Amino acid sequence: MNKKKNKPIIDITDIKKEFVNEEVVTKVLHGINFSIEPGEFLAIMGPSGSGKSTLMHILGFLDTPTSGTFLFDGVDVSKLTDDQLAEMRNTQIGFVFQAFNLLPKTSVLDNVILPLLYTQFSKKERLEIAKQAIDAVGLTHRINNLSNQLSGGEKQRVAIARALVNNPPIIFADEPTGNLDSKSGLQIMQILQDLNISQNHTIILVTHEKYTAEHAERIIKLRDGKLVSDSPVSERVLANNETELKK
Amino acid sequence: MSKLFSIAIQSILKQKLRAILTILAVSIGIAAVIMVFSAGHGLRGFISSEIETFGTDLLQIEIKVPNVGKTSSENATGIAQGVSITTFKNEDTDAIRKHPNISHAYGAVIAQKPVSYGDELRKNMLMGTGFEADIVSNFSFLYGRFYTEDEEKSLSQVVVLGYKVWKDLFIDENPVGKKIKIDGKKFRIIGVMEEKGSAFFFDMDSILYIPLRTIQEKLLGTDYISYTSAKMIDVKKGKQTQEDVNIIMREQHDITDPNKDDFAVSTMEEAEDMLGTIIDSITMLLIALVGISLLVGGVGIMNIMYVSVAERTFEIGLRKSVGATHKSILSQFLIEAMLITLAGGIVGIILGAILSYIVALVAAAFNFAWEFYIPFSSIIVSVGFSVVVGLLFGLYPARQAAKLDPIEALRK
Repeated sequence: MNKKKNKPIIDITDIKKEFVNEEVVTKVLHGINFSIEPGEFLAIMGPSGSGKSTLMHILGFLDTPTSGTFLFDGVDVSKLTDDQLAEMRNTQIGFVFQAFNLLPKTSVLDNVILPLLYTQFSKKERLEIAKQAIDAVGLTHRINNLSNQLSGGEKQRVAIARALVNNPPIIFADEPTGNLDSKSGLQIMQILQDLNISQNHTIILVTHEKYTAEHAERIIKLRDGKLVSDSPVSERVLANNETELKK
Repeated sequence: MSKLFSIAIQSILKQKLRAILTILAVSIGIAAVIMVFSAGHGLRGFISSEIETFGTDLLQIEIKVPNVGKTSSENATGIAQGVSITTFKNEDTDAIRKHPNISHAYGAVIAQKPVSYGDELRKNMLMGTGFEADIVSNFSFLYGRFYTEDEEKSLSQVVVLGYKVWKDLFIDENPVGKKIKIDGKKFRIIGVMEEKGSAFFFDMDSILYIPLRTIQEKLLGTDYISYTSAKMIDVKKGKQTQEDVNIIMREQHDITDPNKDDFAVSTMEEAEDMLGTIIDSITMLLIALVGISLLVGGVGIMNIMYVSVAERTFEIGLRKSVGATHKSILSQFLIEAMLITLAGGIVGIILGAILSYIVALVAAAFNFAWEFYIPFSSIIVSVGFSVVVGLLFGLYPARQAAKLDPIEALRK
């Protein structure tokens, strides 16, 4: 795999995070180091309380570390202004959440178009891009349905379409299959793998399930705020084969 | 920017009922502002037209209790308390008439005496006026004429009937030459006035006009008058003429200290200005009161926006996580607040215009000269105020929204 020689898109050194609540200091991350190269499919594993969500928030520009350096594509994130961070969230990453996080009583189209509202695209372009993204997750027939009229799997596909509209290099998926039945979950993993393999998106998957994590190429394990292992997946699960097997 | 507008409009549409209630609250305040402005204008026009029935080229010289202010109300209080001023004489009118800028003048007294014709007996208002009253006050006649200088000097018992007096006694008949009894004395009818309507709620058509000297000597037994009206040749010289008449009157009455004046000279223009000032201050007071209702509307907006922010923390968090900046969230909520107040402003202007129109219709039904008019300034003031209210009261909730931590917001 020649892409491994690229310079890292994410490079974190000694990242620490503490929360102070009424003078009680809670250390969540105790100095994390790793880097991710463009086009990688990385899974972050760990039990609840291990700090994996906090780490993902930091990597997704939603939170800032207490100390340590976070270089994104060579840029020191701590030097960015609020508006620049907002722009990074808008153009560099897409989020897929466990709870889908769609706007209620809002159509599929309006949900997917949301990140485009904070870009310079014209109204016509926004509509065009959103329609393509919805088509890519196979929901064109549901485009005008309200978000609460959809099944769990459909909701997560809408969330993926929303994460994709700005064509960000990185997609964060936080327990994307956690609220889904196994068939829908498989569909989601298939889409994510496809985005990684055929479209070269960097995927960062946060999960506590070993089986789900094995869809990635590399697994990082966290425990009590420390990185305990970082290793490639020897036998990667391919969602495509599984679906065919089950048929 | 247009994107933010469409986001704001969509958000408002998702909470229709609440938006409608707030718009209603704002619009009631705005409607009240429009009504106060419009009514102020209508009242001003009404007063002006009343003053014009007297004529704007008039100079009015009235008796006055010395050492009081010039206003009619203070004066009236003094007279009501039994102070009677008897120093204003016919010779004063003659002296005023000689002023180069005065063309005509007449003195007048008012009395109430029984009037009878055949079996009909009633008490009527009598006005004794000098022979030039028809010219000074622009009388016009249905029948006959006004009395002459000779008739006044010879104490003729002649009378001119007001329109309603004539209607009551003679219906449609020409009464010229007929005789009626006033206080038991026979008077020959020489004219009937055209209908004049009322001025300042005083019915001008129920009056009988008799020569001044006749009423003084034959009915009242006095030699003084209550006021003199004088017609000016050049209205522009009103101020100077007013000063001159003051001097003439002081000479006539041997007064050196202006504080001891037992008369007051006023122009109609002055009266109009004074009434205008009163109306303006009443209007300002009403606007201040109405302003409070707009403030209440503003607090309503703050409330709806605040609840809206609290309810939509998830939405705000999500918007931030997909790239909304602090500024775009702030703008979205501010635009929402302003659109609601602006809608309230527009509804309020329409509502206020309709209500003002109804007021004008009612006033017209009561025969007041009331013009329906919405001053442009009132629209500017109310829309401007509503937008400012929307901005001010929308700012706090909008800032709360913009400050939300996306991670916290998304957890909900």
